[in-house]
Amino acid sequence: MITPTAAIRSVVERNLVFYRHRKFMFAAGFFEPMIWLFGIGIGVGELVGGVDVNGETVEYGMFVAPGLIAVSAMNGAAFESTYNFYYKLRYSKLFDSMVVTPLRLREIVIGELSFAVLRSSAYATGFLVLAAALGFIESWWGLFIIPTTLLIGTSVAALGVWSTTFMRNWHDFDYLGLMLQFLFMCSATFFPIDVFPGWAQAIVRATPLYHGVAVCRELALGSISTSTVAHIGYMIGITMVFGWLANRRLDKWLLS
Amino acid sequence: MTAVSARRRHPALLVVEHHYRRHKRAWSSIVATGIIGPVLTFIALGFGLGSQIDDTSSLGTEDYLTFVGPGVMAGTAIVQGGMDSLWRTYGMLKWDGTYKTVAFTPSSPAEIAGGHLIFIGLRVAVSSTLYLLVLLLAIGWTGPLALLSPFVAGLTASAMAALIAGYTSRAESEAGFSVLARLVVTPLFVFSGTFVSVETLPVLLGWFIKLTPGYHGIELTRGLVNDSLSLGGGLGHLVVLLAWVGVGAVATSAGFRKTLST
Repeated sequence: MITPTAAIRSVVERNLVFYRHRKFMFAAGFFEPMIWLFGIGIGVGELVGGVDVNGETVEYGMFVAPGLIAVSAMNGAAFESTYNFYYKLRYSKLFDSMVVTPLRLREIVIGELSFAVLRSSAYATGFLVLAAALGFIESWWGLFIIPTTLLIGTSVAALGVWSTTFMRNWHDFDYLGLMLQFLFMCSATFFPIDVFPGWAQAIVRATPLYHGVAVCRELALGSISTSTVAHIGYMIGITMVFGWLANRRLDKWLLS
Repeated sequence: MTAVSARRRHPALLVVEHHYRRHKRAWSSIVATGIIGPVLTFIALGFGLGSQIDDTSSLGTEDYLTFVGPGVMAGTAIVQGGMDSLWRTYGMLKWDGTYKTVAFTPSSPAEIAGGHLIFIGLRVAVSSTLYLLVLLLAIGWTGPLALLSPFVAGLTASAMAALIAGYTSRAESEAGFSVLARLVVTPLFVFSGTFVSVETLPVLLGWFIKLTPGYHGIELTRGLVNDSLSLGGGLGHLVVLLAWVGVGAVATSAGFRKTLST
């Protein structure tokens, strides 16, 4: 038998070996938010005078860039915990091959999700460097964006794998894609949500990405307050709730 | 014999019918991606982002809503056409055996490719019609020309599908597809004038974009919906769009022939 840590590490390592030969495929996920930064952040940004954040007017690029760091963290984790997770279970039968090794089911899941979080943080960190180079990060507090993206990645991975247990076929993933699009566009990434009616704002505020975007933005601008802590607390709460729910559903679903 | 042949449809149309029957079962997820997706983008960017925009002088439309609304219609056609030609088309050629089987019937590879491209155009034209209803509810009736815009969206989708399927139908593996999706399809969606005028792009990028079918699809759609088109300008966009459909269809037919005959 191997220790749980070694088991989890070997699952993460398998993913690293897999992408070592597919570097371009891995890097593509990093470029996508970059395209939106240039297209909307800088392109449409020329038409926007400035955006109000906590009573302070900021340049549009500075408003959008931290939000897109949070989005890139979401994308990396979402991809691994949904499409890829489902593919490995149902199509490539990778998990079937893994359970006949000394690996236990729990270790496989934790290993896969750890890699999801690593992937998400790799994208977000790369994006942070780019945003800083373009002058969109004002404060040294911005360095704390890196641990924040770990939290965003973990919450999305928990939520992602939980929702994957409800998927019946590839068509169901279209709805998941819509959810991700909704989170991407409406989590105050491109505009403050107070332009929407109260009920719509309430929906957005319930999602983890909204809070992730808010924390990244406050860190980038250096305007830390009690609200920053509240956002972080909410994300930890969501991670725990969905981690627990996913854990309950997974055993039954994986063995079905 | 004559009765049978009178009822026999063109092989390409049989391929269209095949897709129609296959899609009927999955209509709800097609509605989701084809209509709810763009409506969401329209609401988020048109109303949400639009509320932050102070300077609309470079857009050439009354406000941001009337700029981005038609842009998202044709931009979605770029994405739907392009994405359809990746895993789905490749899968039908190589994985699930659909087109290998069809190739045993009297349908030629060129006819299969033709039917394939007609279907994606039709599918996008239908979903664009429903999107147009939402758009006109939001911006008001702009004139009868707006009703032609779903056809332009369909053509845009066919042109994009044809150009990308020209590659996928020859590809040895699916390894390059996610790169194509993220580094070709998404940038064309974002930079072809969907959200901001192409004139504001860096000069070289602007020139390149003006060669692509998506740009002409977006300009034509926007002109039709906002009734702001000169006859010459409109025909010019249409000719370029049709030319790309032609070039792409030739490339796709050749690719289908190569893959299906081996």
